[in-house]
Amino acid sequence: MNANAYIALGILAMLMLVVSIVFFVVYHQRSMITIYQQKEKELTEAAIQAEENERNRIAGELHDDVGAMLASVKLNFHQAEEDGAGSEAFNQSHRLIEETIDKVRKMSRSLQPAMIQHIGLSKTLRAFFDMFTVSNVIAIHYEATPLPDLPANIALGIYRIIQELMNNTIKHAHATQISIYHTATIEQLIFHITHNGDGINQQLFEEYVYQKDATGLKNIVNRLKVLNACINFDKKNEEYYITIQIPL
Amino acid sequence: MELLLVLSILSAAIPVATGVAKKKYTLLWLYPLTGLTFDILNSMLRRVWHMNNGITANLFIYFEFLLIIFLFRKTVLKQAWIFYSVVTGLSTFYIADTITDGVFVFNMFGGSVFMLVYIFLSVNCLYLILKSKQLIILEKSSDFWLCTAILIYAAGAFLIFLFKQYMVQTDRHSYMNIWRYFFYPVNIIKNVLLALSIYHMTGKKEH
Repeated sequence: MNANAYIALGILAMLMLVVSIVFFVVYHQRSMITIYQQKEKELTEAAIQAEENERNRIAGELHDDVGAMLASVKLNFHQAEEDGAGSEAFNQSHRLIEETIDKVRKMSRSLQPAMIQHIGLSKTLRAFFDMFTVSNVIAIHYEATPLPDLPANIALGIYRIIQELMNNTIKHAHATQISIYHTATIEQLIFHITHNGDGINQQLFEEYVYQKDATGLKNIVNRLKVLNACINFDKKNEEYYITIQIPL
Repeated sequence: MELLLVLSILSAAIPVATGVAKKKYTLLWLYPLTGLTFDILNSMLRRVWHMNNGITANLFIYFEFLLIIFLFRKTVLKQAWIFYSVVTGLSTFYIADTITDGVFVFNMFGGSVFMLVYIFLSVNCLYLILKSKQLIILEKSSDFWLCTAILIYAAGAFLIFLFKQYMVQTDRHSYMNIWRYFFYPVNIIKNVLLALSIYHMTGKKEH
């Protein structure tokens, strides 16, 4: 073979290499799209499952608590009809109606924290954290600085994310001290959460989120997507940091 | 004139026609149009009027460089200082090298350096597409087809340009065959892929 033939072979080799690169890019991108579609499917399924669980819980509470209470009220009223006003059955009915009203109010609050609309996100969060600190097992330090006016759906989304994160931090990370503060600019709102528990970093979060039983984390991801927000988990000096960035 | 040469020249009309049909008169459309114009001019000068086409060939190589470098401006060469350094540095090199060799001589070495730059830019652009968080369907991506077109073209032309002088001295006949069976087909493929790139242009940033 003469030198030109070697050069021709070189050109051929270069072209083959280039074609291989292009095929690799196409193959890699297709795999990424398949993985992405699978993850999207899992997130949608988790959202549907969460909604179904919530419906089952409400149905259970309505049937077992409210339904049973109203049935008792009905029986007591029958008795009260015979015994007259001021009888034991009448008073019992009165108490049961009050308990039912209280129960329905609590259910309603758990479904939609009405406080957000009236007192704002910051004070609603404060009320939520106070529920934990009553037990003295956990200390939550919350710097409730004023927040910008947020649309109801965004405020509720943020509340739900923080609610889920707090539940996870206490239940799974076993934190005893949690610190929360937020900073706001015209463009974005950032929540900073620090805790002393056994938390996770970003890599673990991305691993856990697609595990089958991680419904809570999947709900967080779904809510973040709705808000177009992002979350970051980090560990520094034995402390875990969670940052949530919400564009405004 | 031989068939492959005619096909190679006329293949540039495919992306030009695509641009006209889609009314996408962009920089990307200007590239095959420049190619078509210069290819016709070069062939006329050399084969019909039997004149030296060194100047027009050198001009085309330089215009091609400017067009390609601007096409990659928004993807690979985002930083202004890198972009202007590359343009200034390579322009200076090419102009100086062309003047040194003589403006009537087709500056193949300068061309080969440009081809190497195109390979780097295309591979880098493909890497950025892969690295991008926004997943895109490659078959519908203008950037992907552009990178593939330039990459195949540059990979095919690089060694031909680099060893042209050596190949001509060694065996002129085999050099002509290499040009005929490698450069023309690669140029045709490039133009077809450029047509796809123009066809899929949306005007939005892809990654």
